[in-house]
Amino acid sequence: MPVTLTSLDDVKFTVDKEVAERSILIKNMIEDVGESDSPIPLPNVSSAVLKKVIEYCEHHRNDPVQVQDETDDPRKRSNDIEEWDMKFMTVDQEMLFEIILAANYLDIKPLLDVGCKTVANIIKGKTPEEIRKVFNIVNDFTPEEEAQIKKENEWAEDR
Amino acid sequence: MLHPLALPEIIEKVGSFLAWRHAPDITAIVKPSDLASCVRVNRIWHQTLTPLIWTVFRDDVAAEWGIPADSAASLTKHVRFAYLSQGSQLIPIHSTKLRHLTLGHQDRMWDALNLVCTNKQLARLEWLAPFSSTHSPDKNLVRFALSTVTSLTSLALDCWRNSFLDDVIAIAQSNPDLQSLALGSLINLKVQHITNPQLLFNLTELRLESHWGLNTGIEFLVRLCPRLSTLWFRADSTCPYSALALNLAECCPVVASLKCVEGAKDAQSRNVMCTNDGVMCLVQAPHFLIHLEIPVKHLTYDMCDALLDQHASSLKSIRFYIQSADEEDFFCVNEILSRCLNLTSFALNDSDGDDCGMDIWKQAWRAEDICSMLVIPWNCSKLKTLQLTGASPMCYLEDDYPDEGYFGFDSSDEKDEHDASDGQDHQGSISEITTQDMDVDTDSQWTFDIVMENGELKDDQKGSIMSDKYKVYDPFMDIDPTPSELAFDIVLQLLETDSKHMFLGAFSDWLECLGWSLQTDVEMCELAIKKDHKHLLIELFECVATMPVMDQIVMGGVKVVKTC
Repeated sequence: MPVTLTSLDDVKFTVDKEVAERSILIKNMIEDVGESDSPIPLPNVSSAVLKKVIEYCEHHRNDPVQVQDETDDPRKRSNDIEEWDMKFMTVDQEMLFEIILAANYLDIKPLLDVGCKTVANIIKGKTPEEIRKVFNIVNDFTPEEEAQIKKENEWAEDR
Repeated sequence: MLHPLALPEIIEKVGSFLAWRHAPDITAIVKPSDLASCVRVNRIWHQTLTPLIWTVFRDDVAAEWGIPADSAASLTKHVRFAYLSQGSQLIPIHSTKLRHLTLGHQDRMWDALNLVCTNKQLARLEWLAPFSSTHSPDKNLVRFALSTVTSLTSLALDCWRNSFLDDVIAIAQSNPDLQSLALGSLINLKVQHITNPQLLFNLTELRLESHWGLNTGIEFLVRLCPRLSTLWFRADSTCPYSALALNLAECCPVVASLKCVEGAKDAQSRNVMCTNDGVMCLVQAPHFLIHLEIPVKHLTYDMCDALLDQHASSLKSIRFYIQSADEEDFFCVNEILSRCLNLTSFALNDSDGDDCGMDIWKQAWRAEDICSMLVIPWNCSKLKTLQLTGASPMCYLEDDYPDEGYFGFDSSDEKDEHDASDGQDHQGSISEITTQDMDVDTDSQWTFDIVMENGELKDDQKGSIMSDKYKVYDPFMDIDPTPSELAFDIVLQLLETDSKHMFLGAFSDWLECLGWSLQTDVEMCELAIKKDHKHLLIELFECVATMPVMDQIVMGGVKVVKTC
């Protein structure tokens, strides 16, 4: 059964229910509303981003649904990114951030993981200043705070 | 647009992918350098990511890295997984939210007591040496500390002395979610008469590593575990096999895995080995056995029958550690591989230790004995991995070997490979040659007539994998051989000429055609295949080529893996 999703800019996307329900948010909305032809509004997601999200969900439609375990050991997470996902995430930084925000809002854990792994790979090997520059982040430490934190974590550099 | 890297939940998730070196087990080591940069980016990053740096704390690593105690003191509150193994007083841990705690050194006893008592939500506790002879605190303190934890899912106690089995049972019973219990190196555990003991319903894994003779009656624990699925046990000559088997048969209807706690090296000792009668007794206890891992001196027909008559259809993984192997052992292996239809992993490990060490001087199994495992066709179509670590097919090139030259002739002839007269001298067919000393299946799909002429390879017979050094041509063949068939022909021919230089390369090429890659611990250019192992390898891989999901074969010094 098809489901219609409406983006922030009022663009409609019709997708299979199975694909749409890769988003836990949408899945819960469908369950709450029941069978209906009414489009599901997604006011936080633009059409350009929603198109990418749908592309991801289509490709991964048959993947087993990940269950978030509260006792999930974060150390068991794999840092690998599949080849298709890597190509999928080859986008400009603005789109990368929008995909992460959309995956977070729509509650699509695998897509959020891929987005965050991509950001982590960008960060690897960079100094704090380089990280700020790449992501346009403002340094809000006082010089004293910065010196204290540097001293606290000196042992961790080059480890 | 909201910046995602201003949201704590996103920052934490990104950080988690920076924090851990990929590790195959729970003892992951934090990789802090990238996190150390991240915590200096801005305040929200510092606040969110600092705990990640401290989530896993190992005092051996902390000592190596020189983490300053003063700056760490306030930060150890973030520790969730602690591994304390050093004797000297190091950084004290102030966390009250530990999930896993490993206490491995007797000198940290008071740290241990304190941490256990202040972390009631502990899920996993490994406590080694709480009752050591020179640093023993009052046992009541230890019992009290253990009575404060009630959320354990995994508990391992080691080096308890002069205690009571009902103490252990009481600790287990006060943790209703306990799934795994390991008792190691207990001494003089007293078993008193226990009336109406409460069953440990959630315990599925029990590990009994202690010396049986010093802890008489410890096998009684098995009777309290109705949902036991995996039993690890000390497989030596003092093991009460009959009592253990009876307890399993009467009280553990779903036990499916029997595994010894020792590895290959321990199996060298005569005392750490299952007796034949013990094995036969034990394997008949479970209703359906899925995983078996035990050390034995030899495989015998009786043992094999006892195992397979009951469990041939259920067995999925088998690992035997054996002291030595002869023809009977490999006939037994053949029986197993032909009757266990659901087998996915089979390992026959020699008791010399390393699974893949390049030790060509060790007493390896005889190739003619190993061939006995190929007599009956294998029916284990789900087999993925095969290990025969005592099979050592490789040798160094400088081993004693006649110098045959390029194509099996004396190198002093210095024949040019492109010389037409050489081609004529080599003319002949495999079918004519095979009747002599070779033991190759001439009905095999791989057998062809090979005729060499002028040492030139016809263009339409050149496969993409053909090495230029092999010149094979058959103008009389009325079907087009595949590259793997051509490669196999070369293997057979070089088998006939008993070439030491060329055979390994040809064999490796043939394996590549089958989608396999040969990997050795030593550079292949330094190696050759032992004469007596060539036939074995050919027949083994002819058999393996038919196995649809096989992807790894390990022998001494060599591994063959599926590449496609």
